[in-house]
Amino acid sequence: MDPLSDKERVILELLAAQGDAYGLELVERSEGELKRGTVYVTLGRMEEKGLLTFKADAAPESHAGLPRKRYRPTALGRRALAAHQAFLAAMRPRAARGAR
Amino acid sequence: MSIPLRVLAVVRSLANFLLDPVDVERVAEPSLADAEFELRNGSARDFRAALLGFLVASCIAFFSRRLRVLSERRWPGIVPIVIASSVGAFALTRGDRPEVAGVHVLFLALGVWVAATLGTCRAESLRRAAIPLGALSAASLVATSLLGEESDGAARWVALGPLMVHVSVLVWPWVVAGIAEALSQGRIRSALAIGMTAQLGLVMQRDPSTLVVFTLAMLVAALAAGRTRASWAFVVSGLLASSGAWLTRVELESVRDVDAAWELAHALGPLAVFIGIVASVLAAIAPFRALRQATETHALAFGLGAATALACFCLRPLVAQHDAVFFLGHSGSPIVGALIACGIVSAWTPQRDDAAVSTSS
Repeated sequence: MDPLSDKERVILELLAAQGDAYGLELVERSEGELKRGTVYVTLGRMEEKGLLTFKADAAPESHAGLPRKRYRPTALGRRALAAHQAFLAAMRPRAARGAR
Repeated sequence: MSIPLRVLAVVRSLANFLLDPVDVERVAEPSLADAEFELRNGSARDFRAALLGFLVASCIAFFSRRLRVLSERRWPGIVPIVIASSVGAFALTRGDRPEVAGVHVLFLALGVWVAATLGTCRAESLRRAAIPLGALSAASLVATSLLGEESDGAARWVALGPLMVHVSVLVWPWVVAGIAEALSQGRIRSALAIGMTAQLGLVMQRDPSTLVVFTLAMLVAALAAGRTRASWAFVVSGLLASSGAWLTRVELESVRDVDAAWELAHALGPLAVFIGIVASVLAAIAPFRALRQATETHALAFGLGAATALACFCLRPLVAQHDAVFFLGHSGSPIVGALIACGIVSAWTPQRDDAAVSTSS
């Protein structure tokens, strides 16, 4: 599997720490790390990779609107995030030694 | 329904039309649903920002999908056409009016862009568009004969600013594609109507040699589609139309940039001529090679019909003294026409995965 991109990592971390969220909520929670224009492309790609799944809200009753998607990480997404964080943790001491 | 909701309904329809269904489901609809939520619960500013987010996301999805398809598709014929046309442009720089080489290159760039755009379309979308575009192209031949630019008594061109477009050699792929698609659907009358309208247009343009090329391409497409009666109808109407066109034909005044292109190329050296000829032959057989094993009737009929037309356009200068040399002459329309055919071939060529599936089954 491809390594997680920065945006994918941010999304998985936000979902793991703060629970399921809509696309716009993720943009707000990320405090500038995610943008409105690119978050849906990243979410779509993560859905394709099997890192995320979603639960669709009921469609608005007042008119024929679209149901909103509430994203959550899959088991694969959680494992990918854990592996990524473990990798970063393992690399940190080496980087620190290299810097000395 | 309020105006912003109407706007959302329109952009949703546009997204459904332009984007791949997967991108609609994964990118466009979630972003539109959030924009709609902002509209109902947030401020107008939030709504505008959410709508902008949708537009950016849709554009990214559209172009990234195009780029992916571009790298996955096969592109038969494009490289030989680019090589042959480049030899032509180089030859033209040695002629009396070297500035026309720039026009040649401009048409080549336009043609490559059109081919890439068509080649990345969904095969189904092109199939849906083929019959209407075929009918429109055939009608444009008649319209050109009535309203087009006249030269030596023949009206075959349309002026687009400083550029003159030779309509028949530009639109022929759509005529063949429309006929191939109509025949594959069993719509014989539609196929005959497209074909015979095109033949009528070429009679009115007093252009027998192009008429023969069209008729041969139609005949081969009909035979490839297994429609014998339609083949006979094209032969009979083609013979009648050719007779009419031959009796009323006009001899165009020789244009050195066009007719002397082989001489110009020869002046560059035998290697340039050799490269030009080999590239032209490879371009002509590319649709046949790509689609000869297609399992779908429309693709097979178009591949064989397009290969016939391209081969005839390449050979025509050898028998008709004052016809433009196909790729080497100063005539941009044939280049764009050939590249349109390449784009359709790419969209309808079985992809590598499809080929693997059909082989294994």
